[in-house]
Amino acid sequence: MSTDPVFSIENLHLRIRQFEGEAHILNGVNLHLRAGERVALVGESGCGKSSTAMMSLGLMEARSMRAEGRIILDGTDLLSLRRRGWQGVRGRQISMIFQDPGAALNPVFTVGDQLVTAIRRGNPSKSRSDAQGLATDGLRQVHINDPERVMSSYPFQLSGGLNQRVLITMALINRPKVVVADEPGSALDVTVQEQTLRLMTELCADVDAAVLLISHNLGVVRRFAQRIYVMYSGTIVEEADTATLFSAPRHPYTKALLAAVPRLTGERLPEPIPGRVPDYTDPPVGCRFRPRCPHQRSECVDPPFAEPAPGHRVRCVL
Amino acid sequence: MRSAAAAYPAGDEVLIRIEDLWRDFVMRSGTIHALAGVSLDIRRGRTLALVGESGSGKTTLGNQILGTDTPTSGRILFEGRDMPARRDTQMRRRIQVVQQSPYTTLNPKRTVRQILDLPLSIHDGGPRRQRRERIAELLEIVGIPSDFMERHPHSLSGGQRQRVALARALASKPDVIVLDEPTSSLDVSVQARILRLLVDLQARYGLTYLFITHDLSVVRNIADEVAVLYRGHVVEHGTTPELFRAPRHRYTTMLLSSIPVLSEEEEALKPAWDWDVTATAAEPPSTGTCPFLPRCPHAVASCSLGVPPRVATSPTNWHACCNPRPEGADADAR
Repeated sequence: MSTDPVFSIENLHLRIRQFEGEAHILNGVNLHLRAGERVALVGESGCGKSSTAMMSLGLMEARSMRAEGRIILDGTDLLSLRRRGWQGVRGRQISMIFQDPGAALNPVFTVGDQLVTAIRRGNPSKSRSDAQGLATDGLRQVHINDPERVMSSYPFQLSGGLNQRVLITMALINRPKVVVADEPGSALDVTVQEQTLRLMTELCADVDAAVLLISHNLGVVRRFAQRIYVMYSGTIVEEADTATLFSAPRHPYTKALLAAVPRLTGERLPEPIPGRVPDYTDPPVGCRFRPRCPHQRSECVDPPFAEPAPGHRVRCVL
Repeated sequence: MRSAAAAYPAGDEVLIRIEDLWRDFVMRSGTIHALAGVSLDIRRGRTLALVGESGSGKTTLGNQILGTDTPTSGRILFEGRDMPARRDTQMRRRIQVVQQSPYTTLNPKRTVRQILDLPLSIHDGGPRRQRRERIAELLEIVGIPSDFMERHPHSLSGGQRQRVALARALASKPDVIVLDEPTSSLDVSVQARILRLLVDLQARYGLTYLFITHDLSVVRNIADEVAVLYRGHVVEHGTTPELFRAPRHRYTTMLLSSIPVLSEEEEALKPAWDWDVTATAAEPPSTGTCPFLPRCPHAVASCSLGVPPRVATSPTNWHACCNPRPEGADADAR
């Protein structure tokens, strides 16, 4: 595995003007993916993980938005791209797997039509029949036994699990370098979710795509990712490889989050996190977890990134 | 937490008995048995978790108990007496519900006080002043500051809304609360708080819960008993520790093995399952066989001969599987 990142987000800030004032949604996000790496971004709702995903694909185009920083894909700064520029990038070099497969597919076109469109968008020179062949092969790769039937079906005629596979096919069909997966399978049943994760692992290895998995489910993240970023209130508070994060978490928020998950050992009820997520229009200075943190002190106003071990970075004074 | 003993403690009284309940939905494409002969007991003061994938009939069964839907056949007994499909006010008072999304189940045009006043005025909460005192009391019980009374739901967080929904269910002093995915739309840190509140309320008021969920880690921590539903059939039922320790039905095994967990210690508690990524869940609805047959890699000839009968494995636990996972299967494999 090469050590040069294929995709990186550098000091990304996102501010959105709202009625209540300017909300500072992303507060200096730094992350990177190496080629073929499976990385997860985990956090609770409203922490900015989906905003990060949307920014990465240029899908946040509100006029009231102000973004700073850089999002680098293969040497290009995606933040500087305008509409035209995105055409060669989105769906070709970076693509997305959405959460709810039923909602992400167009209900008035057949699956085949949608796959062919995706292929020809990436490769305008491909003929329709070539694209159809590619799509059929793609569906076979996600272990759909009767791709012809699926191709001629409308999304509502297929089960959630099948639609999820179609979405995975669509995201990978142009062999992108990076795939952003926003809670894949979480709208589905656990057994289907388990299958989806296995399938994604297998296929992303096949096309050597790096995956950024966005999730709130620590169990899912542990199953899938090699490296994890924990996000709280628009800031990455901790990054580590999966084994380290679960065995030796350092940031108080990571620890609190782990303690809040019900365990299969069933020894005791999960521990709630006291307090609530801060107001984005007037966030606490410095560490945003400070008001809820049991270890808060004066240095928390400007916590540095500590590196207790190579690759394990924590934004905390502890 | 209360640990469920191997057998039910003496005096553990059956509050609700469900007998051979069927609910058919007739569609153009054929009849769907949302409930296909469900028989279950719900014990007073206990939590029965109903687990299964979407479409397994969990919510349909909850609706039958609430009386918001009528069965095609079969009956439900409450304290030994037949519960009519049309419930009177008294019966409705005793069985309440908390639904999944607190974003859609609270009327956005009503204040918290008005939301809580409705059940009180229906179920004879007395004159206005008395009801007002009761509302304040209810808010205190669920941990909402009393100055929230004149607020509207939109100014509350998800967790606070779910507390209000819980207060509304408690208003009529029910015996039973059907909890239909009460924490699935909440973040884990908030979920933990609501779960603690639920356990606390149960201990305080002797409530009986029917806890409908697909989150098995939650079930492990809060349910006394578990019923596993698959396509309208209860395929396995029993006390929580035993069912999680030694699942017997193949579907239960698959379900438990798919739980995403956080540690090796928990990983070791999950049963082994040979995942086949090529399998698709496209299966025709079959009647007269094991409901899990089309997806089951362990099927034997007898699985297609009829709906498998119940096999008791202990005084409290049973399954309906022709080729069950052998007991202690994983211990041998390791």
